[in-house]
Amino acid sequence: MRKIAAVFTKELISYFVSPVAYVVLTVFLALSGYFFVNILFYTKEASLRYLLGNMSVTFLFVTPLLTMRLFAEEKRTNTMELLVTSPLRDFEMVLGKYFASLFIVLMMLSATLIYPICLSIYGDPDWGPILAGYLGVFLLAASFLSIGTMSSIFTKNQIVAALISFCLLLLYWTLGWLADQAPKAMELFLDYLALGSHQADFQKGIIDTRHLVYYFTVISFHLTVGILTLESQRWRE
Amino acid sequence: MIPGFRRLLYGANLIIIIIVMFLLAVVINYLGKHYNKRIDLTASKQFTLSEQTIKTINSLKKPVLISTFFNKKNPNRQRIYDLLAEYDNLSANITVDKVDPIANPSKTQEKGITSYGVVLFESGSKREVTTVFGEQEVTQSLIKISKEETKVIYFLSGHGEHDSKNDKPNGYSEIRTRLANQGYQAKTLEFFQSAPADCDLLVIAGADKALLPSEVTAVENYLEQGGRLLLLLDPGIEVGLEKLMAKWGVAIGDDLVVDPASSFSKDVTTPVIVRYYQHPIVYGLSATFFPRVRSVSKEEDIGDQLTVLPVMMTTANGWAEKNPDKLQFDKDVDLAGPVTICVSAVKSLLIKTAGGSDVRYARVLVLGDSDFATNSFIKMLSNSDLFINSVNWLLEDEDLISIRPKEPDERKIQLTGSQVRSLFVINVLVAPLSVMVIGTLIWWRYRS
Repeated sequence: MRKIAAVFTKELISYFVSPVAYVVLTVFLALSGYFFVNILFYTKEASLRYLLGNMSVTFLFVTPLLTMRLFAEEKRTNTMELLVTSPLRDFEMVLGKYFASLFIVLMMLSATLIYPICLSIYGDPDWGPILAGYLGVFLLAASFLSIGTMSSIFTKNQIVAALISFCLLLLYWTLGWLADQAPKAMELFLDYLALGSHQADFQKGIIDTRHLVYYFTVISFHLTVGILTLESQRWRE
Repeated sequence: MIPGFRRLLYGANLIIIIIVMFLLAVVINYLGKHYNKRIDLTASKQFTLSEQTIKTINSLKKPVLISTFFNKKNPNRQRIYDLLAEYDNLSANITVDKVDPIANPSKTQEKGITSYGVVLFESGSKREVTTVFGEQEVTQSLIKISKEETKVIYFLSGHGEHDSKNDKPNGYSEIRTRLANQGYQAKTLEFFQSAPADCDLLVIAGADKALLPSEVTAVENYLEQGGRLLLLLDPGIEVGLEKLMAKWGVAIGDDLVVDPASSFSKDVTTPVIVRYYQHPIVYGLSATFFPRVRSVSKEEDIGDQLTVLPVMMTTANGWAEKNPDKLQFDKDVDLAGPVTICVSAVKSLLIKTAGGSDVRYARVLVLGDSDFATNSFIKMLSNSDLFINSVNWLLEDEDLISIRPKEPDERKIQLTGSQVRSLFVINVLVAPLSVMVIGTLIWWRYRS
């Protein structure tokens, strides 16, 4: 646990030393703010339902930028050697780095809390759906990050890592569209596999345990594949 | 072992582990999907379905396909989608198919849907098209469609009525087909001595001579046992049921309705009806027309077991002409518009049964015209919908449920121009810029 915390702290500091975190946060806030004001202007509803839907798409583009460095950077600068020879276990390294990226996403989401505050100044929002919606978008972003973290382990080039994770995310995201053409049994399976199809309930204000189970398995699966890949790279080197 | 082979072995091993993990994840999710719990966090419990609905859904034996036909612009679309998703969630027997009638006209046509914003329920050979406003309509349709028995409609014949097997312009064969599509079975009855045991609805459409007194008594007995009657009349013809109908609170006028303000191809004796009373039969119905119709209105004095409601009327320019040879409004004789031409009556009855007594409801619908539903006119305007709606209403079960509709919890915000501007400045400019400034400062300090 202490070791995970140590990796987490080190990684977090490197986020703040590099300009990436700030640029990402600034762009994210500007985009979300623009969506927020526009949606509010058109729907005239004290709700974040449609905004959170848009935010998920923004995360689709942003999270690969947050995770691309995690392992690729270490490999490029050859600090990977140090990591590999350190007494750190693979899963501690992966989890520490993953949590650091998760922390950045939490920061991004906290910054958007000004929107519900704005809503409560001018209207009377229903807090249930807002809470559920935030939980949903957080779990979605956490899943994105787990896929990004795994992709970063695959390669030593940051751009390649970002591309791999972006392609995977897009694929996961669009599985639902494919589902429409597929036969019935396959349709249900593909639709369930798609990352986006589990968001609607959260945005409505419903927490369904099946979606929690889904996101937790997605996260654990990709992180475990990452850990196993890292382990196998140790054998291959 | 050669190193290359070893690497291959490790690689294969890794792939197998990943596949096993994936299958494990699928199993976990399968269990998670089936043993789930839903928590509705909305303040007004918008998405929590009533006990009645849950009971109905759990008792479904056959799969039900619910297709919606909403175009993108329909303001109710999202609300109905959300509602139906809850039904979908509760049962493996329910599948929801969202069809956009504009994007997918072929599917819309294939399902026989002609108007937008409707929901189609299909189960086995049964189908039901309704306009859905909330949970009550959806659950009611599910109850209807899952009922095993088929309702039987008897068309009386032998008095010159329109024949449901006749496919000539004057026949009723088209309406028979349409009733069959709704899951009803139509039969013909030569002579009404006593109601057949399976008679759910008696239709007397356009008799041109009077029923025998014994038949009138039989009709009365049938109604007093909770029967259902659709009586379609024509001007100038006595069918012998006038007195009985008066007892049921329905006054049949001996006249011809004329409406110069709203008529079919300038024939003033064929009024086009566009104004309806508040009645479930005509809810949301567009125009209908009636070639030669007599007035049917509510009796002034009615018993307290009776609920008599007018259904539709002509415009205020119309009148009920007592002297059909001279179509001129005479305020001393003729009845001034708006003229009511259709009336419904419901009577609550206490029927003695083996185990005590039972409250039942008899229903009657009387309309001053029978030609509107013949093969020549049924396909025009909304005549067919009117007939089907009437039959549906007459056959409605009293045990059908009533679920208090939930008010959509809309929380509107009205913003002034300056408020929008300040929201824009705060959220699009100030917030991101302050992050950028703080970030630059921290980054600068670390660099130097």
